[in-house]
Amino acid sequence: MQLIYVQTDRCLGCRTCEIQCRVEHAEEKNLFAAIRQIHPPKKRLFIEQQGKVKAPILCHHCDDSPCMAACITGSLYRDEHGIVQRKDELCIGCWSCIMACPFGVVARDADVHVAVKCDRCPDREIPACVASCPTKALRLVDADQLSKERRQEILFRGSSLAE
Amino acid sequence: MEYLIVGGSIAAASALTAIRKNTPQAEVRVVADEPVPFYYRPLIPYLLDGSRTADEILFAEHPPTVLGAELLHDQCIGVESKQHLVRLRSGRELRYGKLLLAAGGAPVMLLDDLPGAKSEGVFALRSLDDAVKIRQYLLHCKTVAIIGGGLVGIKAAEALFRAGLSVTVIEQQPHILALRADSFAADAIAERLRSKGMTLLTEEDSEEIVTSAGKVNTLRLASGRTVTADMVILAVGVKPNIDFLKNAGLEIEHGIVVNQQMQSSVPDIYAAGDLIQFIDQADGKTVVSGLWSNAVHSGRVAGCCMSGGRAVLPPLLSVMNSTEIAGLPLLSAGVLDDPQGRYTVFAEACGNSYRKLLFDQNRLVGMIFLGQTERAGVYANLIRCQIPLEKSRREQLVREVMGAIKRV
Amino acid sequence: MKCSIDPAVTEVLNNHKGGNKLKTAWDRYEAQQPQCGFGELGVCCRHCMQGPCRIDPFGEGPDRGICGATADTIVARGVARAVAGGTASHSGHALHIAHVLKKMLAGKTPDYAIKDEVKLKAVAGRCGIAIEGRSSKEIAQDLVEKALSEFGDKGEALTWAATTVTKARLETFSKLGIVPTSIDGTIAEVMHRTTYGVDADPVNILLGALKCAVADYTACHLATDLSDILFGTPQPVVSKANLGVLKEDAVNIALHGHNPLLSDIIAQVASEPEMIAEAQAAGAAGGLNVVGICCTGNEIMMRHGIPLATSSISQEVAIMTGAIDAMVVDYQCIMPAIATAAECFHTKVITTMPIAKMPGAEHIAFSDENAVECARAILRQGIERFKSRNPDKVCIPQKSSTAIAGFSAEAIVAALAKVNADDPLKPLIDNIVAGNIRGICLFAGCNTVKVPQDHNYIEMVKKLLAENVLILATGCASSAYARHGFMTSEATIRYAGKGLAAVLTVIGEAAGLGGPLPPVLHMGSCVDNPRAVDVAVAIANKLGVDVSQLPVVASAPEAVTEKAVAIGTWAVAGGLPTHLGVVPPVLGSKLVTEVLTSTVKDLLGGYFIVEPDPAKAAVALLTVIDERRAGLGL
Ligand SMILES: Cc1cc2nc3c(=O)[nH]c(=O)nc-3n(C[C@H](O)[C@H](O)[C@H](O)COP(=O)(O)OP(=O)(O)OC[C@H]3O[C@@H](n4cnc5c(N)ncnc54)[C@H](O)[C@@H]3O)c2cc1C
Ligand code: SF4
Ligand code: SF4
Ligand code: SF4
Repeated sequence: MQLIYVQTDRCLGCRTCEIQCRVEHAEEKNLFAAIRQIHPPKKRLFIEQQGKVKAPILCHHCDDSPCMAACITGSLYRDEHGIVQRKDELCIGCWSCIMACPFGVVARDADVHVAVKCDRCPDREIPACVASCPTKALRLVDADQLSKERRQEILFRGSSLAE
Repeated sequence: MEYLIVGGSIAAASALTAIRKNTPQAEVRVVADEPVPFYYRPLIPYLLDGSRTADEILFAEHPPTVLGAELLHDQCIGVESKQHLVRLRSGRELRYGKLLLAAGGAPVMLLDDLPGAKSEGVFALRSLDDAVKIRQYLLHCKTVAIIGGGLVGIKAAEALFRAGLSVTVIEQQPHILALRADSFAADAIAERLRSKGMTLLTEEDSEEIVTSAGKVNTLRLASGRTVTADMVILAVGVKPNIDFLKNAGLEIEHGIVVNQQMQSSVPDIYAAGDLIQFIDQADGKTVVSGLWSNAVHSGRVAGCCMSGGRAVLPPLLSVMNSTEIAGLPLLSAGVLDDPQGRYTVFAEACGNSYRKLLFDQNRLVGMIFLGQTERAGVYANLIRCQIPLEKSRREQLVREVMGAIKRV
Repeated sequence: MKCSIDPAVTEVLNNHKGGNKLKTAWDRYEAQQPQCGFGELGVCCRHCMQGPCRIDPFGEGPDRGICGATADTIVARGVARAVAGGTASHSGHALHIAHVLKKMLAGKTPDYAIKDEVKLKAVAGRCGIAIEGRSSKEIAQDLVEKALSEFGDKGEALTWAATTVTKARLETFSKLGIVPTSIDGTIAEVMHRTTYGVDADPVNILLGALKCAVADYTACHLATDLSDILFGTPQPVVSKANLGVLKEDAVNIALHGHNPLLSDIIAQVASEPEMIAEAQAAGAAGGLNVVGICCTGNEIMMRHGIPLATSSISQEVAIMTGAIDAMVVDYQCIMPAIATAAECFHTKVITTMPIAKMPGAEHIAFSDENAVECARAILRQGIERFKSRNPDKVCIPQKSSTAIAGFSAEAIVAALAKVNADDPLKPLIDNIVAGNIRGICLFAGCNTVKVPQDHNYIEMVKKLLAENVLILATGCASSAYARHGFMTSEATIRYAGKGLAAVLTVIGEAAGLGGPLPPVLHMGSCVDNPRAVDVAVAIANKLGVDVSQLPVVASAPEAVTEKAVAIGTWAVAGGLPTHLGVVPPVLGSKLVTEVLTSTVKDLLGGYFIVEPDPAKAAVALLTVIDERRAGLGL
């Protein structure tokens, strides 16, 4: 499974990812049209700051996802790629998923009365947020590959210590 | 190994899914007594005003079919745990290797306490069947009285109001939604409901349902007041469906006692969903709850453990509710009020939104977000997991929801 | 990504020998994708150190900067500063020429001279300077003082603005309080009013921007006038355009930038037999081949017939032919990237101006007091460099078009005078009235990576010509039309509608061209846009109306620079509906967008039309032309 991996030390807080996420979910995938939409598209990730650390917070598409467990209508489901998706037509706007997501990344679209969350940009190969980050703070990585990288990193640190 | 599940709802479906992950082949039977099981129970109010049809609230995939289980339309009337056997209303007896009790809850019907409660035109709202019946009956009605101003009562009230009925809700407590809100939030919601045209009576007890020609006609209250009603909905609460377990030898207090793996006190019998009791993380009390997500989690853990997997019940709350009433989101979790002054409470109202946080020393134990949902899950999770919070973090949590919300 | 519709540029991009490490503006554009949405909408502000502040264009996040500035204020401030930036460029350009003229009169710059006394007298007369019985030098002395006084605080309306627009226009400007009394003072004023905590009223800021744009117009007009006096007023000349003008067997020197002070001298020196001999001695049988890029290309093409190699966005591509031995630049639109591109070849990039240096380039300070010697030294660098040219890396596309350039306002009037000597404008006006000329469109501005190079220009011009709209072009617009063969008699036959073709044929034959006038008239570089205004003002005065009533429109379909913003803004101030084919960073404010595209119309008659689709833009301009014709009862 692919993950979006966030390197917090790279995030500058420029919010490009937020804007591009919105544009990707606009009727016409174009910024100038998006800001004119009657109900502007909502973002699905959030730049948060804690002290000096800035970082995009976005859906983890958790195993045993709390949001899915809380969804009382079957609107939330897991697709064949392991992505937790939402069906607009089933959502009644009860916000149970918002209450359940420990990361606070399900948002309420009050205009159209449905919850919105990351759908991993089904129309794109590389998600809009990942593609847009000018500092590559967001990366789309393979879960196994990532663990391997981390192990290598630790090995590398160990060997340089030994020297 | 033969698995038997009693119940045809979300706890059962979650367990079945988990069992199938571990044992794709084993024989699994499901006994359910509803004519059409496996639907989104919380959506039944939407049948009342016709905004959804019965078909539209069924699970998209019928669990027994997609997961390969035999579904028996029957009712379990007893469990012989020594013989590993259950008895069904049809007279059939079924053996089991492992048994899951997922029979959920049943509405309290006040049959003995409220004269007239058995009359034509008195309904509960717990099942799809109830909803269909109410829908049919309401076509001849103009007025409805709803006894109980809890979540189900208010949901029913809103739906029936949308359906064009004149609605009166009778609540015993000083404010509606007693279990889901504090008085401030409840009053704000009540205000909005009233301004739409609903009648909400609080601190009122129902005394008698008066009929005419066998049909409901009037509801008489203890105060002497009368409410004209062509129909009465009883929404005074839910109790665990455990009557059929009297002789099973299970340890039962408020609900079925289970351990972290959902095992009851009797070997090979597990339980999940609305009929179990568990410890509410917010205040440490032993409780039963009526929460969909708790049924999902407990069902999943039970299914997993029954079929040889390992899992533990995640920390749960008895209040962790989110809903929209009168156009306002109401999200509440944990402890909602502090009559004894035990907690540190922060509350702030501004326009249509109201937010409240309750801390027990260094832990967040309760929250109410009315009119505002942003990041509610972060807070609910802190309550559920009882994460110790440093002073600065607590201050920040308060700052973020009260007044100026600081985001980058 | 399609980079360009210019076949020569495309050929070099596909076949160059610079290696795959060589990156162009189009690669860098792609690497920048997607660009910052806040910036695109103009809603970020860095005017103080409490910032940066950004306004959430979706209305959920902050709606004000820390100081309280709204999106409207921030966007308006951004527009005003862009206009000021453009004005500063033109001011610098104009002032530079005025200084050289002054020094020349003092005998300090022997290599410059008054080349066009007729123009000198015409300009001086217009500026209210006595001419009768005075020597050119005396007149020029007064004129240069007058010119210099435009930059400082004059205490009254700028002469070059007040004397070159219609009376009605000047009154309109006065009423709105947008008559500048100093070019540089107005730039400073915009910087002042847009700095922390000064002007917060978006409409007031935009008025400030309009005033600054009028100052920009003044600077441009002044620059054009003084250039003509020093280097001659352009007259029609036949030349060639596109990368095919580079020669394999010659030392190719590309002159790039804007000011003729440098390029005109080099152009002169390059034809000296000694220099040519030096080039041949270095092994270049073809001698010296000077070519132009960007607006310098326009300046030397229209005055010397020197071929134009390419336009601004493809400046790197010129280097990628591997055939340019030296690229000599002054200022404006010089991409720092050329030094990097040059590293992959033998090309030497030579900067010449103290305010415009570049890492990786060689700096040879150009001294106007010693201009010719400097020019020779620069050419010698190119000749020297030729020796290390690697023939294997040369990729010269055999593609160029003939182009007739040099249609200054004077040249147009002269051509018309051949049809009617007593009243030269009459044939033009008659044909406008008769509908043979449905309207006039001035194309100006740059090339941008945001559309395939020249695409918008060509799409629009084909539509407009077919609808009998006469086209004037300046700057990289004229480069585009020159490279694509729109500045020839054949183009008239091929593209112009019947009525227009007939008119152009009559004028062309009368003027002795032996064929029709080109349908797109090359009016000069971007600083020369006032030449088009002069034509429009002459028509308006003759008809007794204001420019804002004429069926005359402007378009910058591939605009890039702050200069383009300034010019576009004064075109609007001057009463022209002005099309922009690239979305400017203003959409973040509904108010500013509304003011610039609509409200301003009631105040000034001109307004912006933002339309990225060239086909729709052409239709929009035709609609406006017809509206205005109807307004005049035509
Ligand atoms: C109107 C309404 C609105 C609600 N809204 C929300 C909400 O917004 N959020 C939320 O979290 N929760 C909500 N709930 C509660 C939620 O529906 C329950 O918590 C959840 O359905 C519990 O699931 P369960 O599987 O444990 O039991 P149930 O859903 O109660 O299912 C039990 C099943 O077992 C069957 N059964 C019972 N006894 C026997 C027997 N002896 N033999 C065979 N079958 C038997 C029943 O017929 C039923 O099919 C709502 C409930 C109602 C009625
Ligand atoms: S685009 Fe990248 S740097 Fe900018 S806020 Fe998003 S993650 Fe951070
Ligand atoms: S929305 Fe939240 S809970 Fe749901 S999968 Fe994403 S991170 Fe997990
Ligand atoms: S993956 Fe797509 S939907 Fe999810 S946060 Fe990124 S841009 Fe938004």
